[in-house]
Amino acid sequence: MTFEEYVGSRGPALIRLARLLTGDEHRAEDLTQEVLARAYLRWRKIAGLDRPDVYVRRMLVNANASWWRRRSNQELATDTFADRPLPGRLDEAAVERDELWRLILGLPDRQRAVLVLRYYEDLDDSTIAQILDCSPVTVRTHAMRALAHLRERVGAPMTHGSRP
Amino acid sequence: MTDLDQRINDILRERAEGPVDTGGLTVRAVAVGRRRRRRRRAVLGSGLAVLALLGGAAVGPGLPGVGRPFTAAGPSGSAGAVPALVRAAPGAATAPETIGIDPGVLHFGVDPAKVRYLGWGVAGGVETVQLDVGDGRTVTVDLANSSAALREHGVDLLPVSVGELATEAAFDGRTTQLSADGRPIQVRHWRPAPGVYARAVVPAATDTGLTVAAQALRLDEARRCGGPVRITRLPDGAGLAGCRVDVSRFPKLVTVRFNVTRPGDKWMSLSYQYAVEAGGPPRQGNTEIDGKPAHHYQLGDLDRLELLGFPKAHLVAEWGWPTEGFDQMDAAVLLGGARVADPTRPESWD
Repeated sequence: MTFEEYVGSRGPALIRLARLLTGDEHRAEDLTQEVLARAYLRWRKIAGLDRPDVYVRRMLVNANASWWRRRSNQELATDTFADRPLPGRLDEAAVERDELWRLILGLPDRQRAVLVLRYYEDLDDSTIAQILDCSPVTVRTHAMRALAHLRERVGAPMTHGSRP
Repeated sequence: MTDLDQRINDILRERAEGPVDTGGLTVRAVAVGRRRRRRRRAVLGSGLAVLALLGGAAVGPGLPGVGRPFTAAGPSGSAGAVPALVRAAPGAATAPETIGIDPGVLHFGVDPAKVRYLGWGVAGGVETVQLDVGDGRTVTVDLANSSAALREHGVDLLPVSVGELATEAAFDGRTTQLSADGRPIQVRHWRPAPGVYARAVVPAATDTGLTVAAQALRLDEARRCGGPVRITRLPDGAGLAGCRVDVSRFPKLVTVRFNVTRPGDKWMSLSYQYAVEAGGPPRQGNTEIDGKPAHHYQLGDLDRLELLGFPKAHLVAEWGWPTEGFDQMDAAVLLGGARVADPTRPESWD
């Protein structure tokens, strides 16, 4: 698979993942571009891996976890001066969803990453552990803490059906 | 699936959606990747040229596997970008308790004859430099006054997490080799002076670059973080939480970012972006800051205020959702107090 083929097939998914990790479309695009530029330089090796997508997603998660990746524009192409729109403000009917989204964004980086990888990417704990470079037990611990925090804040009942 | 599971599912899908310019993403990623590849080759090329000019061995003893493209004037006759010296502040060796306390100051420097700065920053109690040690690889060096600070502080864009390696006992000078999908990464922890904890990381098969970086450290000096930008005033009740400067493509590109916070996880940023290729006609302002034209606009749920009048550069304060707590008045205070020197002349950054 060439680099261009990979970006063509997986680029949109990476952007969407980055949107959820960063909470900011502008930064999501910068982050994804930065990670892909780095992946381009070592593409021959990445493409030879069993699961290149796991590797690239790990790069994305780690890049976002860095404070100054989230809060600086390390890569400044001249054409990135152009402003890109973000989704509009939420209307009144979506206040509850807005509140939940804010709570998710407020979670520690790795807890938020676990939720995104589990719920949005629908990955199993073993794959999430590979991406986060930790054990599946640690993944479950992050998930439990994140869910407990969300339940407490949104007032959801302490039902036990959630994946631990 | 519980109601909460379903709500999380729904909100994540809602927030992830939106159009993606896949073609543009590919083009930009390839363009940036190629630029970096060219730059790496240029660095290696200039190193080889200097070696050839000086007869190789005349450059210095060096270390196995590392060329020495750096002369006192740098690899291409330019010393590159170096953060300004702060004579009034102590170095890390004499005052380790000051490391990471003031995001505006780095309490160490490096010998520019041995390595070249690619970037530097202060955040979360850790002071960091990125260095080109002469072989085209980037060595990241972090300094803190505790092992705990380094445990909490990751290294950017590594496919593995190195933070948890920074136990108290690890700082004995050993190099640990990690492997990420078969790619080696060298990590060294050591204590270059009493009370000073250092970590250096390089993605490479050997730790030679770490040795070069460690030998280049100067712990008896302090340097200002902001590069060409100096912040002289902050909004009421706000503090500086982080600073980051990227000069990896100096003098063509220089970026600076400050993070300003208030209690309660409220923050805003001030960014300065200089690009030699940036052009276009002068922009019209729709407001003023201390009598100077400025432009206020919204980008989705974020607000931006740009102080105009910087050729080929943008100086922008950004605030708003999801971390509210600042407003346009605060941004005007921050921008009005920002002093910007010539980004291409580091000697003017004092």
